Amino acid sequence: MKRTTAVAPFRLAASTSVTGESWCFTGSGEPLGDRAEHWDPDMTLRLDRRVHVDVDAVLASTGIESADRLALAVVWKSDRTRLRGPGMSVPLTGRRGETEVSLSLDVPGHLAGGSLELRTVLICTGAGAEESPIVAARAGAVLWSERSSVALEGSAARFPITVLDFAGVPGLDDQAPWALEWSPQDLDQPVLGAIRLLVNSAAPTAVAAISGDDDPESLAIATMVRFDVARCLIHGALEEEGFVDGSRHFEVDSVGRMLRELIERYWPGVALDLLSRRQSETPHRFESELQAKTGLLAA
Amino acid sequence: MSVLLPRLGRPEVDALLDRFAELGPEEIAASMPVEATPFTYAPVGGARARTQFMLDLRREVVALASELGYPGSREQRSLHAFDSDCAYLLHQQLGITPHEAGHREAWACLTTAHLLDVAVWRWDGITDRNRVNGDVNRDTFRRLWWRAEMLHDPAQQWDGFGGLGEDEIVAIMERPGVTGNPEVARAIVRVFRAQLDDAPALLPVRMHLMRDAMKRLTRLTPFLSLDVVGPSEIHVLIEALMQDAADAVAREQVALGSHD
Repeated sequence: MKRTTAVAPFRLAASTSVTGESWCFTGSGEPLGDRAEHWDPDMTLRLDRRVHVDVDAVLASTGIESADRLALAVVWKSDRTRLRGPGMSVPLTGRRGETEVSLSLDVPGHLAGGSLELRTVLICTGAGAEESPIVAARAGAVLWSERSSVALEGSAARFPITVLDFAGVPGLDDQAPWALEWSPQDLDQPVLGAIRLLVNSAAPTAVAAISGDDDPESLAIATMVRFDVARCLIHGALEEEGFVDGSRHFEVDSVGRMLRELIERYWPGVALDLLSRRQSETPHRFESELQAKTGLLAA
Repeated sequence: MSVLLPRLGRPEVDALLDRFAELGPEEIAASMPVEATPFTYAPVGGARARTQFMLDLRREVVALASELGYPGSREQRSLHAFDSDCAYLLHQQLGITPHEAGHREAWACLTTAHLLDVAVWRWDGITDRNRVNGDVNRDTFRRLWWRAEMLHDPAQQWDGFGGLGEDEIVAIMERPGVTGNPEVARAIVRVFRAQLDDAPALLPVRMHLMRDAMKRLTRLTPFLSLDVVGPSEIHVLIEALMQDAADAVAREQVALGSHD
């Protein structure tokens, strides 16, 4: 069913009257991008951005008589916790013409997770002297807004993931939603250095799935990603003689150790050589077991 | 330090639910908590809730449920009292953050591996797996913890959600787009109660009042950001909106009365 577009009951600010620069990490000044690398729930995410406001254009388009009734503010919303919270609010009292505003935002990690939406808003702070039915008068009335989002974590948190445009990467089909970057020869290497799930930024459903979105489609796609990653890794490992016959030792946090643990979790007590034969001799059984173990398309 | 709950993935949860699907509370209780299941924990932050912590929690929840009829008796009034008291108990005892409480796997593990018998008693079986698999809106214990988190002001004494009924609580909690800010959610509860105190004639139609007020608030939110205004402005707006809803409900009652 097509949703009816909501129409504001008051005059809005012209869309070009406010422009925002990118969000940056406070301190380092590095741009935020679409993923907050190394985020964890014990940290506070500190961000800032500059916003340019053409105050005269805002007043002309909204019908508000003075910048004393305007403020720029920012709100965050986490899809993991479904909580929202405010950042800095800057009154535009006394400003005229072109003006620049610095906004900052602290998001406590323990309140957030998943995908974080950052909404910058220009609001009315209250009623003016002259009342008009089409001029915003309520405190908090949104005259202009802009949203951006950043992935704080995914369902596969701590699994190295990079979102990028496949069109610019040699060797990757730009129509593919994801690809696992690794080599079965790297079983001795640390997981965090030798494996990377590449997700095509041009495939928004895949990006939503690895960002931890909770809708049915994203959850289903996340199971497909999990199955595919497990399948690639386990197939590769079971074709390595030293991995299967137990002659190679793997350090904690290595790819080989992680895969031995993963296989033991999926097939407790089953010998690796038996599993390797099952993979080559009865692939239908092996594949169906792997689908079930990884929860492929599980409701 | 906050607590990290053990977690269970979907395949393990489904296997447990398949195993217990046809059993009653007493039969399931004999297997609670489930052991030899591959629990995991979040990779960072907090103290892991170990076996004794989970056993203590289970003991307290079962004791509460037992006072209210578990395992053999299910009366609506008792089930409502359980929801209210268990919400507070979970929130007090778990010591988890909203971040941790946002993970389906943590609630799925708590419900299916530690308190499944209580959930089966609460719902008279597992006809809807979302009641026990960590679902964001429907999981038995996840929804209770979040009610306490959103609706109870920790600076105030616990008052059982101020006597709000199940439908009234759901009307608030299932609109996170409107009430994802605890200040707003708690203002709705306060103002709703004050409205009923001021106008007792609305008591028989209190659910209509809540529904009408939430509809009005939902209509406003695309154009109004309550997150960037102060608590007093939030209160004033919710108060005005609740009054409009009360007037509308009262008019509706008069109209219905004139048709009788």
